[in-house]
Amino acid sequence: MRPVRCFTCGKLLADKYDKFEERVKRGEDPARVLDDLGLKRYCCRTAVLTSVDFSDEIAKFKK
Amino acid sequence: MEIEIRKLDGNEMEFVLSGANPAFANSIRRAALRDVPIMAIDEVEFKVNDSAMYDEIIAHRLAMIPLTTPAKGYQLPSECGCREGRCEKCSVDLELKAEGPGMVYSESLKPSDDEVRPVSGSIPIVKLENGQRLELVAIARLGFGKDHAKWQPGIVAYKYMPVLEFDPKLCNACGDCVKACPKGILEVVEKRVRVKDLTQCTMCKACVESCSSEAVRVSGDPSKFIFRVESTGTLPPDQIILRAIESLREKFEEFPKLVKKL
Repeated sequence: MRPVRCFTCGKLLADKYDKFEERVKRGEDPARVLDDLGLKRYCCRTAVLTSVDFSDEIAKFKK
Repeated sequence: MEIEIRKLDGNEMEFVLSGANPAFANSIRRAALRDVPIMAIDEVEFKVNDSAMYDEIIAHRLAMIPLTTPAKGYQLPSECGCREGRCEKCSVDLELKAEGPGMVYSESLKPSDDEVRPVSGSIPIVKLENGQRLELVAIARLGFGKDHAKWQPGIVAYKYMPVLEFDPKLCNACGDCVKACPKGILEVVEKRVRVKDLTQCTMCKACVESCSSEAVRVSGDPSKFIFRVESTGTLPPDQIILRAIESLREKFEEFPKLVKKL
């Protein structure tokens, strides 16, 4: 699961991951998408750009 | 002392505080981050969790979801008579019942008081596979940023008002500084250099370094502060500052009483 907030500044990021992935998958420039989502500080930009969600892989195993 | 609000737009606010000193400005900043009580999920009772994530992972995610804080009406758990932090005067219940397949979003949280709800409904909490169920009651309480980052209402930062001086005797309006400025806030107007927006200056001194005649001087005014407040949505930004000042006032009112007892 991707972090709910930016580790450094605490800005809410969770509601932006879906939009970011979808637009980048469609071919848009990630920098432009980050700007549009209102992520000005590089702490937030880094979190959205580099967080990886592997919960689908984890889901294959029993708890 | 004077305050001039330059921008108040949704969750963001920018104001200039003049006639103050750095200690005062910093006190406001610190109080805003750590002493303003806001709502956040503080305890989760799980009834059913079939998801791939452990209870505590989901509980942590729920805690980090920013919730709106009502203007008044709730007591701090430490001050509430119920001593268990579960009564309706000091806590709000948010129920969640979901079944897969699909992602569970924050909109599925149903509060017992509609004034305490997630700031955004599209926060993913956990993904459920076919047949998996999630049933829980999340208890939200007031708390302070100094105890946990989930209770931080937003961020507050300030910088000195920049002071840019161009010596008219040395400046030949060559425009080197205009090109060097990374923020592009300088321009040459009628053989003199003019600043377009002083608040955008980061005092990086690229203009000073680029000037071959040493005509530029950059400094900061330690009595004038440009504040930026960015709320997570829990409280409006002006309320964050007002409540920060209120908490400072309470401390200053209590301190002389304690000193007198010595």
